[in-house]
Amino acid sequence: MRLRPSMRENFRYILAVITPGLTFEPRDLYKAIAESVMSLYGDSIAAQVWPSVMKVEGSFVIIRCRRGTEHYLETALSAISLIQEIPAGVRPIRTSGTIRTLREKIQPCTDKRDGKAVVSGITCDVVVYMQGRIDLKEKGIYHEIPRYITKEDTEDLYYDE
Amino acid sequence: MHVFDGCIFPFPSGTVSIARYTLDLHDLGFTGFVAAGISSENKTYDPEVWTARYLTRIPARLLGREAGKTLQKNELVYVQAGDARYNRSVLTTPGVHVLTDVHTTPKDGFDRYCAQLAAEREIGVDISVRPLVELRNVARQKVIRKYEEILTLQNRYEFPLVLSSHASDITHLKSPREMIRLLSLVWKEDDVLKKSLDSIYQIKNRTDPVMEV
Repeated sequence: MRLRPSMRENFRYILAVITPGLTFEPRDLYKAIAESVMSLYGDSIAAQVWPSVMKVEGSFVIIRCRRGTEHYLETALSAISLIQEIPAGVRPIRTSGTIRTLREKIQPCTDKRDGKAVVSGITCDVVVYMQGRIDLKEKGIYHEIPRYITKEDTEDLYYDE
Repeated sequence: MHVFDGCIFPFPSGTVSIARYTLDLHDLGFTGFVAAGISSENKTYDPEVWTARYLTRIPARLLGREAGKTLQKNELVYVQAGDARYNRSVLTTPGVHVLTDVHTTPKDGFDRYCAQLAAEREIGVDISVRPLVELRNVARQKVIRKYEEILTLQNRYEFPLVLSSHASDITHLKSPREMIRLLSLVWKEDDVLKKSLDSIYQIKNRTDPVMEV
């Protein structure tokens, strides 16, 4: 149904970040968000909230909801623990009335580099993020070291060419 | 104002190093956190890091001895809750700071007498957001009901509440705002929840009750 601008629905947009730096398809994100809203509030509120994934940029996502239902959506986003059976969290950062404002807040994900780190005498493949955050690529084979570390925890760190 | 995450589990209990938690929790807006299951280090971090002994399945008769071990080390003592009788003996044991995992107690495990004891002795009751995130359906409904009971008792007796993420992985970390949002499913008054974010600071710096000589 085509409505006059004055009769159109007012929306709010929420910028959220997926932890730990993963990227998903918009469809998978929508499924996780819709499931979370439904299980927390039921069909009635889910229909009111009307969540929709507008844009996915790296690990950032912009989600739309009806104005006045932002707090439902924020709570539901915080309650997500799995996306496509992969453990992940969705952390709301900012709410706005326009997508453009939120786009300005998205940090470019260029500060991510692959490398190798020596932790407790074990050399492992890692991803190095900004501010010295380091994630081990394969956790299954290293039981004696933590998966999420910082430069401080490494004995040696070198980047792949 | 101090904003503390009441309990996190660093490596080896979890998958995240203490330095990484420090970095991430600082970015989330916390001024400190309590790390359970590790021994206290001499290192200082920017968000304050306090260590805690997390006592689980300790028989009531051994509680006093176990809680007393930390008096020298400046550590906090967290004790996992059990049935009402056990909880009462925990709450009357000197040296205990926080009663944790209250959502796992059986029916009436944390009653008004326990609430009164916790308020008198300034022992915190830990409310974790992790079961609200990880559980689904009936299990989550039970946790919400249990938390509602605790918050009703808190409203009456005003014992300290400790909000925590119980994070053992990077995906479990929640910002203070997220914690309040999730607990707003249980309790609508945000002020109580906001105040609870710094209650661990008050519990640690509590003065012992005046003793009659």
